[in-house]
Amino acid sequence: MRSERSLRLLPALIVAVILTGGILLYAFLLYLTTPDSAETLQSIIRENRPVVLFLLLLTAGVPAWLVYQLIQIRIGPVGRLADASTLLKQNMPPETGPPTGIPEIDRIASGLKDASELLRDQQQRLDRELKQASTRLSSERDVLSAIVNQLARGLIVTNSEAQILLFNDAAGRMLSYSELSPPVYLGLGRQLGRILDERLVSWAMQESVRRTGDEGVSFITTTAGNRLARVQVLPTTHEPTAGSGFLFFVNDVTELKSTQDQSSRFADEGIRKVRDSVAGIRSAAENLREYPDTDPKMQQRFYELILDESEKIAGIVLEHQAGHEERAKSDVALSLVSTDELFGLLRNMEGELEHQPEIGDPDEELFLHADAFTLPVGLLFLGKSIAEATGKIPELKTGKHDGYVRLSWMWKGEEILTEVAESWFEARPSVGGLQVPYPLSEIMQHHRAEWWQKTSDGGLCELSVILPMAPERPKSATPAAPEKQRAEFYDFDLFNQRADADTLKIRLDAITATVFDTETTGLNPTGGDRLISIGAIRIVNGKPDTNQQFDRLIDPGRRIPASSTAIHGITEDMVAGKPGAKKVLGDFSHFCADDPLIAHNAAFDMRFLELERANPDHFRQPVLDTLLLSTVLHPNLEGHSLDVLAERFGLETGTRHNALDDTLLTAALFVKLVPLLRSEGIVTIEDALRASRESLYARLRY
Amino acid sequence: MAHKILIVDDEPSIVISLEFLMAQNGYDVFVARNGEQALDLIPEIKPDLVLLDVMLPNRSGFEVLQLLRKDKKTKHIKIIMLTAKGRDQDITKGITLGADAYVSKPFSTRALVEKVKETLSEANAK
Repeated sequence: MRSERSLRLLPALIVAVILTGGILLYAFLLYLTTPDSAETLQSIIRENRPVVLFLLLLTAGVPAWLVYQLIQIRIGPVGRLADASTLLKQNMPPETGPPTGIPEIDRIASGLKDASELLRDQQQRLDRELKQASTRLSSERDVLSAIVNQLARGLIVTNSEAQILLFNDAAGRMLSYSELSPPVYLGLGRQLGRILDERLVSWAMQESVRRTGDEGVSFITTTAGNRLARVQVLPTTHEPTAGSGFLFFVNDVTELKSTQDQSSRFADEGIRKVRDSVAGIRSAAENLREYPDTDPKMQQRFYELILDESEKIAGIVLEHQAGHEERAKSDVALSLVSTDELFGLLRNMEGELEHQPEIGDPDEELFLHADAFTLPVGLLFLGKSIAEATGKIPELKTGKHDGYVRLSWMWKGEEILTEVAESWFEARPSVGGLQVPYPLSEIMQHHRAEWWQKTSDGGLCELSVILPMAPERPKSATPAAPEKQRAEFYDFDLFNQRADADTLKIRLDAITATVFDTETTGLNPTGGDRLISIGAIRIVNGKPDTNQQFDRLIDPGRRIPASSTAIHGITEDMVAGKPGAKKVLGDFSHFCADDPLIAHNAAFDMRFLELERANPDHFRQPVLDTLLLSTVLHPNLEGHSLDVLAERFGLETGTRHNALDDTLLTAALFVKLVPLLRSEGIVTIEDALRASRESLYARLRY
Repeated sequence: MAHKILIVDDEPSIVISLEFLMAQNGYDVFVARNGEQALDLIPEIKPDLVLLDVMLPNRSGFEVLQLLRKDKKTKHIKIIMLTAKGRDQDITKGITLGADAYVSKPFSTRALVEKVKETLSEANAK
């Protein structure tokens, strides 16, 4: 760094040089007016060419150098002050640099410094007040979480785009599988469609808005952990508004369903056995009474038959009693559905089918007890299967059969082979991505339904299902709309964030992204250096969510140089037995899903990710670089390293150079940068990428 | 000539009682233990009436019923279905598929004999 004295001397030096240069030039011009001057000059130049060339360069160079210095000294500090004043304008403590020795500039600098100290004081006060306010807010939040966590059922709240806003412990236990391969992460800001079947989720959301009842829509699906879950979906409001969202109640019904299956199998079989035995006893007893003259041998046979069958019944009754309690609690209620509603459900489901069976209007409005998910899927599956097997489009008809509702697929053409039809009932029905995770025969059993196939003389085939008819629903004037129950004290800002199909249009202050950092064996990815650690945290709706962290060590499969251990403190012992980069990056790709990525000096980390990922499709999302964004804001400031920026923005630094700590710092830095970028007109991801690109080119040109 | 009745059931206790009952009422009685056996016997015996249980090993009573109704030679045979399932769905299904009558277990022997007589007289009336 130049001393203050030399800075003061420089203007004097410039004056001296200009004066001397002027006198010399004047003398030279005088000399040119003498007669022989041209010839003498030519001979001097010819004989001393190098010396003359040197002198010429000197006369050109010295003023150029002096002008450069002048710009550095006079303009450089002015540029820094300009940045400093921008910082001040943006409510940031400015950096004015060292004294320049130029009184005017130094006065401005010291003024800025005073202003910045004042600002820092005020900012600290503001921070304290903010902290108090957020403590209040978080205590209210805790109350809500405590209430929600008391629910035995899993609860997930999403916005209208199925992005998760809130979930309770029970939902976490049922649906989060970070140990699985691939892992499934339930977390704020994530897409529920990545955790439960996407098509089921979107179907249920649409259907729940369409239906006016207060039961919502339910479906059954298998979770990543291979459990059976019944999910009930309710819209927060029936009018689609910006703040509308959905409640997903999740119940684990794995055990419930198996006891239910057992129970209904038992009920069917038990009753059949009892009826058989009673039939034997009754007819034997009646025979004895009606034909008293029968020969004694035959009479004896009837008596024995009665005894045997009575014992059988006693056994069945005991067995039945033992299972009774279990069954009492496993009775999952079917809901009352009219054929009109059922046809509506079917029409909505068949949208994606290639061969769409014909579903007109029911011939008559009848009521039945049905599951609004499994029954329509099962019926439509049959219709679809008929269409595929016969090449004819079947039509759905309804009918009444003393106490039963008949739903028949009718078509003209070939009958279905019994074996084929039976195989459909043993399959797990699926329709355009909506799948029931157990066989159709179980759906039938659950609904106490029976089926058959028949061909009439005219060659009209039917495959019919009958279900017990239910009494008509009492007519109410208009279905009551659910009351608006908005939790006013929870941060539901995400409700208003429509996850635009075009990620680039997402605002930085409402971004949901993954911030990450890596530690490596060295700085040369193509020269054999490898990843040894990766840390990440998610930013949800513009705020870091400390509940969603990723922190993994990686076995690099090579030595870790002591020089690099000195930086990050990771030794070879620490990574021994840890998974390799391919596995960890695979898990990481599930953690960050489609989120935009954020990193400091991202190009470095991305290079390692690109070289070591198992799947070339991973990590192709947009990447924001906090280093570049910082240079966008303050192109004239020199330091943009994480340390310098942490200091500049007054951020707390933990154990630095640990991937997770650096990540937390980067996330905090990003949050600080966003309002500053906004004041520069950089609002969306697209804006930030464009500005970063321009700033990068600007730096490269230097 | 006495009417021929084929009893198709796999429950020995019921077969014994039915066999006795039908014989007492003057019918020629034949027995099959499962659906397959019934289909083999029917062309040979040419029964006037079949007492057909629904739950049978090999082929269900419904299948036997549908096969008999499809074949011109057996189409006219009277069929009374017996069910122990205790579900009305079975009755609806049986009648739809062409059974002449349906009796659920446990039945009254008197009522069953009545039903048999009634069904056979319908046949004679034609």
